[in-house]
Amino acid sequence: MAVIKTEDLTYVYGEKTPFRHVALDKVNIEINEGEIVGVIGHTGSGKSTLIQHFNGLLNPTSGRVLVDGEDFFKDKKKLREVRFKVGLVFQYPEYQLFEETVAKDIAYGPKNMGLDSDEIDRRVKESARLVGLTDEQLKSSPFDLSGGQKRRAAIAGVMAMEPKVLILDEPASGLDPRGREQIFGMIKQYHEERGGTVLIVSHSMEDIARYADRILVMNSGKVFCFDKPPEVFRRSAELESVGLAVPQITRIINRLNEMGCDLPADVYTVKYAEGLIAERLGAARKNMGV
Amino acid sequence: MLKDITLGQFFPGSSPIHKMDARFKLILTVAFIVMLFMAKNKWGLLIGAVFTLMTFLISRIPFTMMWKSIKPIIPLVMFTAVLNLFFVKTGEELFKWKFILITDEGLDTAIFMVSRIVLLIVGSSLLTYTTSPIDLTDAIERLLSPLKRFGVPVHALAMMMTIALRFIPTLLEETDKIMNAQKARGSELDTGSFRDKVKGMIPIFIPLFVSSFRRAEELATAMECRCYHGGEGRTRMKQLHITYIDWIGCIYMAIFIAGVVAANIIIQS
Amino acid sequence: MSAEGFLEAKNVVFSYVNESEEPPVKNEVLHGVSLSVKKGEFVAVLGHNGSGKSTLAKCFNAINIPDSGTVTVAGMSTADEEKLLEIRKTAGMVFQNPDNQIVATIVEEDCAFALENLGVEPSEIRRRVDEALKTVGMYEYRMHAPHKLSGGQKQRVAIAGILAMKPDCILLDEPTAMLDPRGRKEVMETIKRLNAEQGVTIVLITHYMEEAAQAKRVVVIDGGNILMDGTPREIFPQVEKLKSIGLDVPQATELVWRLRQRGYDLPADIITEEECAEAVFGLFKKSSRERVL
Repeated sequence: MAVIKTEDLTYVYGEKTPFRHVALDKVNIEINEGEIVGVIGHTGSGKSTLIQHFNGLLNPTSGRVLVDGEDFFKDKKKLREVRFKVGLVFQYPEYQLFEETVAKDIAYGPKNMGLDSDEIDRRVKESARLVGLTDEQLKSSPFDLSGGQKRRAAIAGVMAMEPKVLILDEPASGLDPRGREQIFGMIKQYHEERGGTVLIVSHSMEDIARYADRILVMNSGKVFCFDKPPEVFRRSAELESVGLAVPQITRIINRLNEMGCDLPADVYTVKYAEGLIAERLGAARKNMGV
Repeated sequence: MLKDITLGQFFPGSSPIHKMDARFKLILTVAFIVMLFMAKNKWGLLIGAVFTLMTFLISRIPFTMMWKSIKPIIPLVMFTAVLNLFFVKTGEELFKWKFILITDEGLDTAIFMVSRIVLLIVGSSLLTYTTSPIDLTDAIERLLSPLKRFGVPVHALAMMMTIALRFIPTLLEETDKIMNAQKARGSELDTGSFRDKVKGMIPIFIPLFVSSFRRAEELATAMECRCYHGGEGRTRMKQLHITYIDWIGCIYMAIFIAGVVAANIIIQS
Repeated sequence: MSAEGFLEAKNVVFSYVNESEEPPVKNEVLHGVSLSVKKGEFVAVLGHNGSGKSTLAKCFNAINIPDSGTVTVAGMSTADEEKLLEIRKTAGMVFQNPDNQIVATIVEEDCAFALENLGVEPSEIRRRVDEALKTVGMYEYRMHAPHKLSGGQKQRVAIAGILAMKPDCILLDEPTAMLDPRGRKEVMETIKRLNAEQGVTIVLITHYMEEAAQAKRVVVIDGGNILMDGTPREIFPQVEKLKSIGLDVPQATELVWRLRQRGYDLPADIITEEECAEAVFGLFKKSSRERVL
């Protein structure tokens, strides 16, 4: 069953003002339980507006959002329940840390859920482990951590609510390659252990391509496409025409195809490209041998 | 979105009022306010009202803006009206019911006081409607510059005002973001007792303070990199130019002052 | 002043001191770095977070004064307080967060800030501000409020604010880290144009390999020391070494490296996608020729 479903979801900023702007235009999508969905689109494509609907921070102008088959906007009490069901990690989440210790900060969400202290304790430890924070770091002030550690502590704060769906908005922005790797590795591990649904919003096609089961591409408030990565990257020329940067490796393969090599168009990782080229060359060699 | 708010209600335009030097506008606004208080009778205020209306017309600011500037002070206006209406007991009785007594003098004073407040607000809002915040800051800095001799850090104050104006939208946007982030962690900002609400502000204020300090530090470095070393030896790109429009403005104001003074004298005698 | 060593760091040691601890804790970030940048060069400085790359850049702008060793900009020592303004005018600096370096509420006012501080004549400020805004393509936005611009536009305004000082060199400290791909492209194109058309010396600190690949020289810093220094073609093929210090290489370079590891005959120094495609195509052609034979 779809854990999140939208029906003609439309959102308009500044209705009845000169600044009126349609941020989402009749979006119909279904996100399945347990999948990792990559959400891509340039600034202003509506992707951030979309994810804020999933946990009730924004209220649709028209259309519906169903979480677990329920339209929570009908019932104000449900709104809070939905926030615990759909955990949202904003961009640069380290700027939301405020408690005296990292452990207390991670406990903020679970505490708001009204859990007992044993359960809170368990969850804090569990999510700290998932994001790779040591016991000592848990006891220190969040402001004494390094940039990357702060980011992970903030993500742990949302993970500790054990949401059914975890949404991360640009989780790796501003980090160096190693930091990026760590964050995505951590998300991958979280997904493997918990089996929950994960949505990753990113500008980086390279990162999304490596981790997502399906990719949702947004363009000017509409769904551009929502499909498995090979299917999405098969349309790389179209993606570039709407101003999205496809991975360099995809562009290299496209270039080779323009030169007349008949390679599959759905290449988006270096490893895959390597295998493909080697296979082609190997096949040539084998033919020679025959 | 919080980001879209306009600050200082500046209304760009090219009317003579817009073109006036901000220093002149500032001084003339002060003169206008003083004259409103000097007016001793309703004729003086009537001149003031005509003057304000004319200035509004010249500035080509939509009249709806006039209403917009009055709206927030309506409670104050009502309060003044009620106070004068019911507590002035001298003069001829107009209306009496139990302990409530309204006299013609009370009515007069109420109208007089209310008109004065309304004119005051509408007139001075014209200053902020027709002058950009930066020009206004600039004008204040220059007008206050004689105070430098007495050790008042005029430049630093003006710089602070500029930076505040620059960062208010940024910090509002940031507050919005932090609030959303904490809401996503289940914080309840709009429910619960007063104490709960205050407690609910901590997760917003601490991150906001931390980030403001970080911003301040980075901004200070960036300013230093751009050779900022206080007000000494500083020049400005935009020179405030005194033109004939400014002198016309002065004459215009002088006519108003003369009108009020005349009204005061004639009615007295 | 010779063209040699326009920016010159000699055995620079620098540490941050945490005064809040008792006794103050000293944390040495640069351990004797020497680097010389010629006038007109376009140098990318690579290194992971905390490698000391930003600290080094701030030394060239006299924000950081080395504990030992010397830093000179166009022959002026950064330790010489008399030369402070002259140094900052010669080597301007652009920072990571575009929001935290814009001072004024109107684009052109912000652009004029440095010149006002330097006491330049008003008419001259006007001229230079217009010119700088045109150079970065933000002239049409000169009357806009900075907080309503996109990240890439803000960063271009920040560059214009430095450019108005007519610096010989611009140091950019991760100017694209907080931008989206479009903004990143805008900023990179602006930087490249400044270097190519106006001969402005560029020191670009980044951790985006594609950006570094566009520079003429790449310096890799790790653990407060200079680890590698050379052209992108010399640096990027050292895939293992770069990965071992937490950096990446352009995908084109990585593909070629992987194919070479498998024993295919490809040139090692490939950094652009065009070259990569050409090389792989050559490989295909060769093998099909073999097949025909």
